[in-house]
Amino acid sequence: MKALALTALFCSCLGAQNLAFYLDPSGGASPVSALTSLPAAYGFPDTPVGSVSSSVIRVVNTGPASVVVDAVYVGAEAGSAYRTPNFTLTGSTLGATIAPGAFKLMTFNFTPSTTGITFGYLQASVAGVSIPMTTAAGNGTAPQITLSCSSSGIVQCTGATLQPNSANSLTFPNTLTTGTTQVPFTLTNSSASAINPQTLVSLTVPTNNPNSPFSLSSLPSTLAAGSSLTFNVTFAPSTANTYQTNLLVGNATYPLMGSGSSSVLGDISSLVITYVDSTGVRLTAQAATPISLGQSVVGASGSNSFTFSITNPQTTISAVSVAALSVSGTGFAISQAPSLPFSVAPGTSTTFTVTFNATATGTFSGLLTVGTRVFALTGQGINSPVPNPSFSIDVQPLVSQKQAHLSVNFPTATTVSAIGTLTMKFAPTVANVSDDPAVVFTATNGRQLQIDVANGATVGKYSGQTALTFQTGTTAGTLTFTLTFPNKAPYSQSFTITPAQVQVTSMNAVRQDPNLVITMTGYDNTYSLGQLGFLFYDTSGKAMTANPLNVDAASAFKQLFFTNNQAGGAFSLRASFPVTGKVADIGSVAFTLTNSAGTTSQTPAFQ
Amino acid sequence: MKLSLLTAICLAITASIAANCQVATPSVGYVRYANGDVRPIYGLPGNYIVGDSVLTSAEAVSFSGAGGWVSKPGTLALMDSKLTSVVTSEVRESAALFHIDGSIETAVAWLPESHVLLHWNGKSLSSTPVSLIGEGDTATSVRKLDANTASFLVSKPGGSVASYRISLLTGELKSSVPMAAACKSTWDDSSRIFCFSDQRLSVLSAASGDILQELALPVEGSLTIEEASARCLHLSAKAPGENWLLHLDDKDLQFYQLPGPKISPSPTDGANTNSAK
Repeated sequence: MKALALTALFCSCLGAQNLAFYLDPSGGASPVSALTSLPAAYGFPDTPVGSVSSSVIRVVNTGPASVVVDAVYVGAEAGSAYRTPNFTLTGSTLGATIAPGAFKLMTFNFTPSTTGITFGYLQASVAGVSIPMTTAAGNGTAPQITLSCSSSGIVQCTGATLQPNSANSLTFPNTLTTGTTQVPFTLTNSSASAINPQTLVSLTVPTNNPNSPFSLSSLPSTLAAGSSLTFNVTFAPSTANTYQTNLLVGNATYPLMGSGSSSVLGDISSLVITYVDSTGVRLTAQAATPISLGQSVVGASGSNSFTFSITNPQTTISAVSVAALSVSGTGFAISQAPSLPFSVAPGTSTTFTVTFNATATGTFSGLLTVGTRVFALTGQGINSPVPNPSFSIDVQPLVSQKQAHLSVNFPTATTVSAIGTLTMKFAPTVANVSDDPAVVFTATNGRQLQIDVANGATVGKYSGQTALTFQTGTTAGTLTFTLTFPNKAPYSQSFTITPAQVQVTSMNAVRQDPNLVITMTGYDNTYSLGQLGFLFYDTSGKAMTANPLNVDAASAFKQLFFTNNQAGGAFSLRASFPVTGKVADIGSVAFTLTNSAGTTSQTPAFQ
Repeated sequence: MKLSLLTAICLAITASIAANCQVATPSVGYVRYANGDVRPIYGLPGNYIVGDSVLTSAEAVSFSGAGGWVSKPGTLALMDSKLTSVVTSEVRESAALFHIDGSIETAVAWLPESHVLLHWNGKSLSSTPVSLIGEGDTATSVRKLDANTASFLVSKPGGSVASYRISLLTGELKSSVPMAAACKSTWDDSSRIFCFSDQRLSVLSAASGDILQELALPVEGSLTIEEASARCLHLSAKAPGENWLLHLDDKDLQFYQLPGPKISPSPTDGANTNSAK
């Protein structure tokens, strides 16, 4: 038994001997060979009272076996476990097991509470054996920027200057989830120049969770030399958990801690409100921190949408009735909410959706009310990085039967590359006509193109082309082009194709004894063509009848335009006139085509 | 006499105009797309509607409106206006030339590897060996002038072009006229010669050789030129989706872009559902 104890002691001493200490300004990044050993006597730079100077210490296990470091601490005297308030350690200071070749980092802080030189004895405890690491000395100078607090609920808040970088947190009293605890802090500027509290004072925020039950009151942008100001730290926990954060004043850190409490019987305080953010992460809503619904591009279709859950924990005894559930604030809305009042049984949840859709640029604020609990909402309205486009067409005014070219232009260079969708819609103005199948982009034979905009470009392209060819069809109406980019308000521009007289695109008049045959192609973009007139001339140019021969072809054209229409207002016409005399004596024909927009005439000679 | 004629016209027109006035959807012709599908094209110049595929796997086509040639792997078919095969011949040539001006009697094909002219004689395909187009010469267009004569435009090794008239009965040369033009491809519509070079189209008078009009081609590089109808040429580039039509009756010739077959139908791309009330 005695032999076993001796062996254990021997091993412990060996473990302690295998620890090496280094100053590590790299924070663990540099190899040991690049570090300086922690000297037996280490001097901190002069440090104002209420401020802090820090050095990172690397504790390395150089032996073949793991070493358990029970504690690292700073004693007020050599070999003493009585800890001095002028020096603190933060980081892995307790119960650290260091594997062979591994190391632990800790921060050694000089936090003078008074002016003058003070000493601290940095020691490690391994298996109950105290190992001296270094004797530190620091000179406390006149205070520069100090912090104090006054609260009967926090032990340290006595009004005296707080020591930063303390291992002991400022612990707020337990607070109900429906309540808040507010602690006033006093910031004193004892330096010779003004400071900016807004940049100097902050609360640490985890990168993976912006919601904290701690919040700061507003701070002025200037604190004159020799002046003080008071601000509040509010603790408003939304769940019955323990929370920690750090209050930062310059490089001085003041750990804060607080615990929430709720009713286990079941009331509004029992409920836990969570939501899934835009990245899919579920976060707990905190009354102290506005819930950011992110950025919304002004005018863009769709909105930022978060799904909220109201959960009554399994540990609650009774169901909780919720009498109010609402959202207020411009741009914010609630949907898919349960009917009021509703009840949430223990172990169950109910969900609803909160959306944000910015109507203008700037910051928007709103409120989410769940029973008597209120959560702040915030959102940003921004403009798209893609400037507002415009369209230009090389045929103005736009008319039927054209292959025109559309260009997509931006007044300034885009600052991002983007892909948009250009669509074309056609609304005929002809009654009972719904479309014209010839109205298409020729590149796709459709009404949609994908538009690429390169970073820095001022034009949009489709397949490398800036002039986008489209057909205007043969129907009067309105062509509307719409360009849509993600997260940007769609841009539309319309072009009108006005009703026009019948247009003849080709014609031919031939003598096919004993017939005269007139053929033509053309279009009537009003779909109202019906009256045809033919006046024949002899070869000397003399009219052969006093009046034209009128033909009512309305029925035939109506059949063409309105029954199984294949080509809009386009038509081909073949008129054959049997002649009993000499067809060679007939030289030409003047024909007229009349629609609702007027009369068109042509006079082809017979071939 | 005039009165008699006038009376005749008036009576005839009054009696028959309704029956003889026909309106229809205008047809542009048929085109072969890069995937071998042959589709009808409706509409007007610059305002095209592409119809459903009526033939597949075509390697070359030539249509007049009253008939057409369709070359498929290993076969050459002469078709009527309803695209019904009139006659089919086994042909294993990849660079055959076709032309058809109107009815199938005007159809002629040149098989350069076989040195044979094929034409429809009203009953069957007639084959005429032609030996005068020598090695290095390239026939760029062929046309049937009448039942006994065909014309060739032949590109010579030096770049010059000659117009040949060939007897369809014997294959012998009837005449040869040199032309002051250098063309990679040509088209002959009896009064004009369409001369395609690398970057432009020159329209020449067939009679004088004078340049009537010049146009920049819509795309550089190799173009395939086929007859969509007797009055419309289809130009296609190798890149899919690049097709143009040239309407030979236009006063001012221009290339119109021809939409390809629909890539992705959308709800707004549906057929017209106009209805009369």
